[in-house]
Amino acid sequence: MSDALLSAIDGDAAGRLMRHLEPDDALEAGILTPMAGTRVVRLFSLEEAERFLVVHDGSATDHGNMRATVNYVDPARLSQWIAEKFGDTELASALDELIATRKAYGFLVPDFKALLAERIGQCEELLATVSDGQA
Amino acid sequence: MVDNDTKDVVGQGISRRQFMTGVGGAGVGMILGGLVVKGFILPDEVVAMAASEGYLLIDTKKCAGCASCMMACSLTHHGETNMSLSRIQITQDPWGKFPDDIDIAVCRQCPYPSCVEACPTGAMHVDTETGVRTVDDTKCIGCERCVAACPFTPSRTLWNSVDQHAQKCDLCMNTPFWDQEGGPDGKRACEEVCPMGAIKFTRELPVQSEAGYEIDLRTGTAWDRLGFGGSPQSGGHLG
Amino acid sequence: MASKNGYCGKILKVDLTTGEFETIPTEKYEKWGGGHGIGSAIFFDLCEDKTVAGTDPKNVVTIMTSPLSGTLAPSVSGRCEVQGIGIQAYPTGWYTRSNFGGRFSTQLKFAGWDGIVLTGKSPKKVWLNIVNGDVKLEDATDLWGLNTRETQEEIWASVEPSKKDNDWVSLGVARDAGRTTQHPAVLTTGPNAELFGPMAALMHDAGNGAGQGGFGGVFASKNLKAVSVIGTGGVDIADPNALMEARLWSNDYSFAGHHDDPVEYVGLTSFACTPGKPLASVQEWSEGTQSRPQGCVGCVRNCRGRSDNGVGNESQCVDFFWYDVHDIKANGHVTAATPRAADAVQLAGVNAFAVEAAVLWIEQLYNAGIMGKGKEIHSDLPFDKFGSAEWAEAFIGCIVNQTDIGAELCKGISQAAKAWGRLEMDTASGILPLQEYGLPHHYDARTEVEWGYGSLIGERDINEHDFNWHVYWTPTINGLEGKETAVSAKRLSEIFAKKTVPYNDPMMVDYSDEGIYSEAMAKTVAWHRHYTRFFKQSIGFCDWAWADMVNPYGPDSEGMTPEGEIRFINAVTGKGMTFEEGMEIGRRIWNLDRAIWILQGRHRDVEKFAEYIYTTGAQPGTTTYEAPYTMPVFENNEWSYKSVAGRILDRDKCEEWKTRFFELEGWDPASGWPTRATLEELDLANVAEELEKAGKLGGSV
Repeated sequence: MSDALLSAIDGDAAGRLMRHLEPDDALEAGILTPMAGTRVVRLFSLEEAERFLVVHDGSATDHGNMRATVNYVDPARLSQWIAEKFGDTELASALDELIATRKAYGFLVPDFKALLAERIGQCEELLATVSDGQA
Repeated sequence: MVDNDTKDVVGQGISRRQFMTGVGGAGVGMILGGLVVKGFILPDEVVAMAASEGYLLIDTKKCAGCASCMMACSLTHHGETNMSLSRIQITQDPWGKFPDDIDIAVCRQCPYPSCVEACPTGAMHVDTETGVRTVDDTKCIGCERCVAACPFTPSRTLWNSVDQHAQKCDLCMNTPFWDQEGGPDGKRACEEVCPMGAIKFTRELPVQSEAGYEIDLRTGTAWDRLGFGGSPQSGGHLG
Repeated sequence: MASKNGYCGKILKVDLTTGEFETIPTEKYEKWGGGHGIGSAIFFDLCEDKTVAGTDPKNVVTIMTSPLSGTLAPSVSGRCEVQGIGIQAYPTGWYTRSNFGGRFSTQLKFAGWDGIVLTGKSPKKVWLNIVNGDVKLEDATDLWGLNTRETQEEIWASVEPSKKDNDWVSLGVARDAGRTTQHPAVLTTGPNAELFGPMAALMHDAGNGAGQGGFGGVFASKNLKAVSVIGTGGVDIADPNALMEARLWSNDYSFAGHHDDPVEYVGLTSFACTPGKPLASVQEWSEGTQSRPQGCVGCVRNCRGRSDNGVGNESQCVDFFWYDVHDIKANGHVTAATPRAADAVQLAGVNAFAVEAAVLWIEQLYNAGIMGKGKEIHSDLPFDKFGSAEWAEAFIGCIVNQTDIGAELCKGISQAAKAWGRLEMDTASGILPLQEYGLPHHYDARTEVEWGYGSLIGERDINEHDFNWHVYWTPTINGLEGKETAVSAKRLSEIFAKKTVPYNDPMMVDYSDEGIYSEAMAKTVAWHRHYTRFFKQSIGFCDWAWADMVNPYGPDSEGMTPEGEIRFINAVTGKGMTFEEGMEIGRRIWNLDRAIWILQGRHRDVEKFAEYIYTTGAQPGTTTYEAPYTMPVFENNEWSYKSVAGRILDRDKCEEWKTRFFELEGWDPASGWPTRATLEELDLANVAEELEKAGKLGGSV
């Protein structure tokens, strides 16, 4: 997987990346229950996307229990959304690299989450500096 | 089956087991229908018949109504699968409300077996070795008094219209079509095949009510994890 | 006892036109095994014109048991096979099959019959009353408009008027007429089923349904409301001790042998599954609802349930799933709406699988503003309460009563789409998920190809999960959670190679982009069609337990197939059959069915999937209930489980695959028609003659 991970960004990018999107630009993700379809959840920001990616411990599907839920977002759509709505082509490419391994979704989630978290961390740091400067 | 007012007798030097199998009242001889019954005289001339050395317990809430027990019973006793020859009967209402959607009729090996008492020939008798209440079909004259005498519905004694004799649960003592040893010291076909583990053999006379045995083979077992209490409520997972 | 080695020896033939009964000796057809094999053979003999519509009185409907019905064989004893020309597939109602569980086949065997053949059309509305050897056509005027529960309860009271609760009842006046504690087993249509024929199922008890094919409509077209059977006889077993021993042996492979310590297995498996699962039957009730597992006669896994409020009893799988996704979307979790929706389809006798696809489509039409009050497709259904029991019940009601959108849907989904001018566009885009022959998309032909191909070369959604549990669900569920499967892809290929007698090719589970068009995949589909034709559709091994390929209780995760099936067949019948012999019978049956479809107009040129299969990749939420597919693939010289989500099929490569398949089966690749050589090899010379007369014999044009 990519290591840690992403290049530095500037303040303008940070502002763009941390914004809350309009409804039309939201990403459709879903609460997926095996055998009971996917309940749509809409994600409006990078932060929401990062929080939505949950690593499941898998115990809910022991004994053939199908009432487990998985927070699912189509990986390709996630990458495309990040590139188009936030303009972060580097982050999107990093996700694409992982997607190209064709590993199952659950194996991608920890790495996706780490990448998103890193980018968000960079943004928060930058924006804190900016607001300090303005204080 | 047990008179409540006789429980005062307990504590007078008689074991509970002896008491529980005692027959209150006069009129019942030790010799019934020509067969010597293994029994003993209790104080006050109460006559007891030996208790069965085993009983079947069924957790009626675990039963899935698959009737595998009925198939196994008739298969091992008669060489064919035939619900009308099964000595255990499962009846169901497909639209019934759990747990009343299934009724399970299994012989209780009554301490005071009305079927044995009713038999005029001793065909229905208490086995001398095991205490199991069972039919010697060579002696059965087909009067069906045993069928009528069973206090339960449906009668646990049934009429075999193929071979024309009465029959009932014998704890698999006589299963000519199964090589496995049966009876209280062996294996019982229904118990072996029940896929839910709803049937259990016991040597102890169970406590029972009018409704039957209240057996719970579920609580505290793996059954608790299998989801028979409804779907856990799930919500969103944001954050 | 008339029964011998599993067979009763007689099949009841009912000419509904004349009301006459006839006995067909089972011996005449015994080489076909039972169930589907016997049904197809009888159909071929009795239905002279195979091109008639399903509603034509000349359609011949068979209801067949197997020698294992009504025995202790595990998860096979309860099934019953229904066949005839169907009215669901579009545009051609292919000769098809459906199958249901419960206790009907058991009672039919106990009554002394191996099956029932229905021909003609009754001049009056009737129901068929079978009490042991006594058969009668009864007046069904008062039953015709009743729902499935009302019908059955009325019939019970009529057949056993003196029965009290669970007590014994005699079935005749003579002392030895036979006694039972059981209710009659009834197979019935819903209310006025001729009015929603293509969507109409046959129902038995609360939740056993023969849903596919529109057989409810076919029954109604014959003026037949129901068949009731009660018997007090038994099934003779060739070797009772062997049957008992086989059953106890199989306990080690199921919950039956592991009540106190069931295996914790992530994924789906068949014979080994815990009760009320895997399809969460017992969990389709809201939290706090107490329930029991419930199953068909002789079952070891008992996949259904009964609840403490009696709602949703005996329903399972799509009975719940047609609506639970919408309930969950609206309410966050399963509520009482889901079991009430299940009851709605069961009581009405409506095909749950068809309404599942229809509702996914309707939801999209509503969201797009195309359907609703005053919209292009007007509907007064309470869409503001979509996901509620009220909506579900109103929807089913409108189909049954031909009101609102039901006025078109009652004729079939494709027909409704055509009437609304949306058939081509919506099946092209895939928002109307009808994958082949107007039939609902079940598993994805783009990814799990053995399912799609089998459905396409056959005549209906195959609904046979022998590969599916292990090549789709298990790796996908584990994959969603980032877990390694208990059985690696390589081990899976080894297990399947061992069990797919006679092909035994590990590449049969390669679902890579290359593998899905390969000859190995042709073997997969051929094996699957032959196995299921005999073992499952003819002998009745239930799809929810068999084949037993991967079993977490088995040695090195291996299940009982191919040994298990044969042990039970031979214990009951004494035939000493081998698995290979069974597969060969299956191949014969498959070729016979192929011939019937060809007489109905089948040719490779009509064997095409809906457009979306070739153009659009799947997204979760658009096609039934799928999670994104993770499947075994052999790539770069190694086995692994990989995501194949979003794949589409290549049209040309599909055609090449069809050619490979036809060649493997000994059919003319130009047409897909069996050749004389193949048919004669299978002892089907008479079939070759009929095909030749119709100008449809492979290789002869």
